[in-house]
Amino acid sequence: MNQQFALKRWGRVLQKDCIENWRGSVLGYAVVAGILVFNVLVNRLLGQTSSWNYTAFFYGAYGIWGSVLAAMAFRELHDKHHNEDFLLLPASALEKTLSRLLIYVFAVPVLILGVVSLTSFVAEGLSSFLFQTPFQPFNPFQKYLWKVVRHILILHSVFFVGAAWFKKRHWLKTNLTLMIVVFALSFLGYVMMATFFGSWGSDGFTDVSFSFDLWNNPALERWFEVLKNISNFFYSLLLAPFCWFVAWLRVKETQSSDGI
Amino acid sequence: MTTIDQVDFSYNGSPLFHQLNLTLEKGNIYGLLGLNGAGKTTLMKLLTGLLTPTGGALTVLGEKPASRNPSFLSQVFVLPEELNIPSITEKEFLATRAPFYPRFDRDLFERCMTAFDSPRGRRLNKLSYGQKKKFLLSFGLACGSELLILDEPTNGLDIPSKGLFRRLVAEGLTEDRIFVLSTHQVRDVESLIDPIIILHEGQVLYSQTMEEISQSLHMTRTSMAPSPQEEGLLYTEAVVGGHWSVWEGADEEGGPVDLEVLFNAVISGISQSHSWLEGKGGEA
Repeated sequence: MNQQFALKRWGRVLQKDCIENWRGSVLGYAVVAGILVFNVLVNRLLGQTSSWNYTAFFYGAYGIWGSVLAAMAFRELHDKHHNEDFLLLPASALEKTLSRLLIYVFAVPVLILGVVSLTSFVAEGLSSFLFQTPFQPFNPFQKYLWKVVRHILILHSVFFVGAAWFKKRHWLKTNLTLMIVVFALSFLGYVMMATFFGSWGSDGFTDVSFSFDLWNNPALERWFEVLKNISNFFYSLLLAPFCWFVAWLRVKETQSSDGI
Repeated sequence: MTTIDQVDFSYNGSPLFHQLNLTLEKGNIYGLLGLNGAGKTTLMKLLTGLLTPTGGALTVLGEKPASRNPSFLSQVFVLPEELNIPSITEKEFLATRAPFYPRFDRDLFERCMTAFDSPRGRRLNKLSYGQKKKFLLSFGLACGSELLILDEPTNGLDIPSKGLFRRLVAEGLTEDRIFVLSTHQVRDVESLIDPIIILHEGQVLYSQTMEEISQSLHMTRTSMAPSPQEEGLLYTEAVVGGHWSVWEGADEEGGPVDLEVLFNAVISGISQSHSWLEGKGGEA
């Protein structure tokens, strides 16, 4: 059997991870469903008759709770009192990483979608029965919804690598790192714009006419289009796999050097 | 065969093992003894690939543990001193772990669980320390791994279970398996372990089979302490109701070997640079 990846062995790892986590997951999803039903009914009780924004609730639940789950994907990896079980499981680092990726990054939006959809039927049913409001459940097949899911999935891949990378407080540290990266990139952009298109002054840009000149310059416009496409390619197709790859390398490294 | 050849290991630049040599052969239950901080746990982690040596060659069951191949890991089972079991039932544990061990023997597991009178059907994390240990011991014996490492296996076991443990471990040993028991409770396992390995300050200070020990040493228990000048006396210590003494020379009467006394004699011997320890370390 291949030492790096064997489908049968990966299936066993996946089965193990699912069985070990199903109780906690059921509890978590029940809390999400409870919060949703409670919110819908309280809104109706307060006289709100317009349809409840299930899509916004889904984004919130998926974005925030999903990021917390992704950041917990390897919670035992760096814990010296709990990691022996993970490290000594007869499977490769790749199989262990892929199992966690599937459960904590890919399965989460599907499960939250399922829970929000089913709960919306219950909440709308109760609301119709109690307050005679129109039955308007959540539609999980909206096209725009899946576009947002794609963006959140990329973001959660960053939290996934944070789960493998940081030894403690994975969610907090990943958020802080993201903030630092965003500030650094913003500052870099600001400096570049000021350097190339404006004169640097105490108020930042003193000459703001560059923006108009830029779009009247076809060569620059093409250059920016190329830059945009490259950025989009990197963001949409490479960023998430890069995060998964780094997470795998980190698990591999921890397996052989940090299992103290 | 498992060989540790000139292995070096350091923690953050502070050396623990320097040129460590040891050979473990199949069909034996090794007793790994040593003071706190002697390197017992580190040695067990090196054997299982949880740590990587900084120098030398380490081959366990014909593989390099640090490569952490699944085929190697499926031949190793470790019962750690600190037990952390997920919040799952016995049935779930078996369904999720047993398939990773190709030689897992379900009948043996059932026999061990029945012998230990372990509670069934409860979530494993809700069990007491001793009950968890009995469960993991049963699993470890049944998984059929070629290398079974037990760290303080009798801690938390009640008195009848200690006897059962000795019987089950002795029954579980086959010609193709190596058991390594690390313990401070030597009296719990002294009828079980053979050979004895004593680690001290990162070195194998003493590595002998029981037969080799009885060919080179003998022990006596007397009410009065022998004179320090008596010929052949290596070590003596006061115990309740008398004195244990360790003497040079073969044990012709087949008297008892008290491992605790032997351990103290070895540790005391090294601190006084006694010559009787020369050549007793290294390969078992």
